[in-house]
Amino acid sequence: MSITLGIDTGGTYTDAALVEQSSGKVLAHAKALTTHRDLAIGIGQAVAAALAARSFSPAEIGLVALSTTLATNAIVEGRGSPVCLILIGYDAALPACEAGSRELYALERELATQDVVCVRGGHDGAGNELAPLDEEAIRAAVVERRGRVEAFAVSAYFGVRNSTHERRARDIIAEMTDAPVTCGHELTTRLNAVRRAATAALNARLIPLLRNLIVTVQATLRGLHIGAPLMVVRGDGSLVRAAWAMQRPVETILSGPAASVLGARHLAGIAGDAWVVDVGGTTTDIAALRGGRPRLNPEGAQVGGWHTMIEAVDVHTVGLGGDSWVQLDAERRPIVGPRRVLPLCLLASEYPAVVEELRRQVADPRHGEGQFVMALRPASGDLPDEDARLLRELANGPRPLRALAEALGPAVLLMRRIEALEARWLVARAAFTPTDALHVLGRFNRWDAEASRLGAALLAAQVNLAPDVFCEQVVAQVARRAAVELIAKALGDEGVPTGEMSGLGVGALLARALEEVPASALGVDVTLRHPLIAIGAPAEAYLPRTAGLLHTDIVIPSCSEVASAVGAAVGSVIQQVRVELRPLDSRGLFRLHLPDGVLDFEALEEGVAYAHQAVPPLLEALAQQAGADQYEVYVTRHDRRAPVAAGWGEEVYLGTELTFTAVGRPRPAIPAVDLR
Amino acid sequence: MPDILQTIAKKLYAGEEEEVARLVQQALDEGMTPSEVLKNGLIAGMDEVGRDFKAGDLFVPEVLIAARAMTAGMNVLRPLLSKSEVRGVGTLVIGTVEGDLHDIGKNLVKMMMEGAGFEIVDLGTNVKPADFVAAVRQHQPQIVGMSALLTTTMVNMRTTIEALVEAGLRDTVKVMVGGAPVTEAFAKDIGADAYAPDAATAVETARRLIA
Repeated sequence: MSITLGIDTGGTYTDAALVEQSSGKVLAHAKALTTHRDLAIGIGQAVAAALAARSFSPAEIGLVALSTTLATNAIVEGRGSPVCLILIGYDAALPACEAGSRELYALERELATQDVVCVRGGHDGAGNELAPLDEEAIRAAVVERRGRVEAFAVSAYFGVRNSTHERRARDIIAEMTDAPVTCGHELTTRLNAVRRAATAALNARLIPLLRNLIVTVQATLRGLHIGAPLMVVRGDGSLVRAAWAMQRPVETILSGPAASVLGARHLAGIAGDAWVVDVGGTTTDIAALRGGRPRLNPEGAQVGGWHTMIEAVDVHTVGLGGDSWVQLDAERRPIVGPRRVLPLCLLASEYPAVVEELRRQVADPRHGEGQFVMALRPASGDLPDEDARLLRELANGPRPLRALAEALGPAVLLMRRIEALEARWLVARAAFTPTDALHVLGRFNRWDAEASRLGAALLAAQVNLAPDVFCEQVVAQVARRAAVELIAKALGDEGVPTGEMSGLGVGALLARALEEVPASALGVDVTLRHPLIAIGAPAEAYLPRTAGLLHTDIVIPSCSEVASAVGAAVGSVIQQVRVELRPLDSRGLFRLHLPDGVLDFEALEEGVAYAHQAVPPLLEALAQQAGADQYEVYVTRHDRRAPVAAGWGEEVYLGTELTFTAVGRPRPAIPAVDLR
Repeated sequence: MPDILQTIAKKLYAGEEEEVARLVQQALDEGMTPSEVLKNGLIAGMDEVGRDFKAGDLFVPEVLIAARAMTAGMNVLRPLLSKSEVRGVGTLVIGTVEGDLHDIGKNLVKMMMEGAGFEIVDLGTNVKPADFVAAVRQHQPQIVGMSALLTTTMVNMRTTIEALVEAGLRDTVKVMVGGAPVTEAFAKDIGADAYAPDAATAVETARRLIA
């Protein structure tokens, strides 16, 4: 029996899942804590645990698929190696790149690297050369940097319309050094020279990091006697061989969420369109499945302040989760999130004194409002005096917020300080959360429910409700907010700006749709036309009601806590080549823009026919390189014609886009190798 | 509203160039601030012209001579207005696209927009995409306006927009297009922000885009 091992390193946990290739069944799964310093350690622990669960033989594993947050985190944290970015013909875009200037340190923030070299060359929008490529300047730049730079990135102005200069530059660099080279046109076919350059630079920076991870993971797997090939998940959910991922690591951003969406689909057994809603402790992620694949964001994923050109899964993230802070708004209604706190029940199960304190507060609310602060770890390094005092107050365990305020005195700007220390992971706050509400209602029973009951009593007293009723409201509010966010996402995907959602008219209609105005003369029903697939531990508690409000079905699959690892295991290899035919000025010719150059034709259909003949071999090479076994090719054609005013003749032809997509299963190990 | 400003507006509407220039000077001599004269005299007059033109009560030639009177008044005020006051509302970079030499429509829009308080950078006709890009970089306008009167040159509106995207500048401006063969649907298809069928609507649309 051949098995695929799926692995996902998430923010908190690393998951491993063993999926039977023929049936798609999840045979075993396990979790370990993610070891951020060296991801391979947590990976090894999770995999070993999964194998041990049913004493599988490592030889049965035919393929390993890894989804990792390494790229996303590295970009967010600003990590990466020194790289050189070569810009060709950019004087039009960046004034600092005027002919003759070199080495632009000032552009570091915009272009993700300090080391930027501008050389002459480049094309116009039609793909015509504007200036010959300055090959000497490229050679000089490489010579100066030999041994100092880990990778090169090359981006040419309008390089996606004509890649000739980028490819020539790449060849020159490859002649002179072993360092990897990334070109803008290899990462995207879309315009925006500045963002393209940044994306290429980010890619180059990530290469050594991902290479390091893959090498250690492969060693870890060998240590567990697993000899199967390793594939990596990309941000669109597709799989590529490890060697490919080491060349194009930037494509792995958002791979975790993408794998999660695919895993949800697989576990739910739904083939068509659906919404995947992942409810976590802090956030809820919403993504759409269209035709069984995650809907991608054509604008490119935004990570760490950079707007990249990588088309990854389009995830809408909301500050709403099981551990969201429940407060009361001006009208004394519960609002949930976006801040996250420790649930009272969780705090009390570690520090029983909290229950006593809550009793005191219920007896006399002047003593407190059900909020606590605790220290997470001792501080290292210097702290301002007031912060040090605060931490000393917390040395013996969590303290009620009010007591802390009294101990420290008024001038200390307590809330600001707490927030700053929270951001540095030095303290955490605890307060009432939806998790507490579930404990009160008996729907979730892991921690100290007495603390939850007392916390509920404190808040419920402020709104004159019985604690049970208040808790039902909290749960209902979570369900409602999830519904609102789904509606906003559905509309957003159809081009309706989210700003429109807060208008008074829209608000009134929504309130009635979400059953907030039972006595209204107007009944409003909003129907989500596709089902929800809900994953994440708290999903069961909140989302069935959301589905009800939106008049749609809901599936809550089992094993959803390892949806990402499962999604990695069931991924396909998907490669795409996009070419464009455009009218060439007024000569009546049509220009075909291929990945390796441009060609002109007298008739549109001639160009289309040529593309159908020339592109499939390119696609085949990519699919092989990415690691596909057999694959199918799909072609879509999109002709763009724009209407003119009446009486002015026919439509204006703008161009034709042909997209060739290869979808195949990854090539497993044949035969399985026993390394014991 | 002081009488003299109302008179300036009336004279402007009637296209009486010399009177407008004379009265503007007189208003300044009487102690009014340049920006007050601009706003409540000249712009007020042009707004009325725009309204009536849209309603069909004024025709293009009449608009043109009113615009000339506006210019005459502006010539008196311009040296006295501080840079920020002139730019008050915003800057418009405008031109007819590459391959196209028509300019009447463009000039009408230009004058109406100037009347509405915009600073204008007129690139002329037959403007290459790269020149639009350079002008955006240099003047940092709020709005880029493009005009075309041939179906064969309309496609250059799209080429210009693409040039702005490639330069990383597309998000820094609003793009407005117009010209007899152009339609709202065409504007949407090529990625423009707005379409205006005539000069008066152009002013309204521009104000809405930068609000």
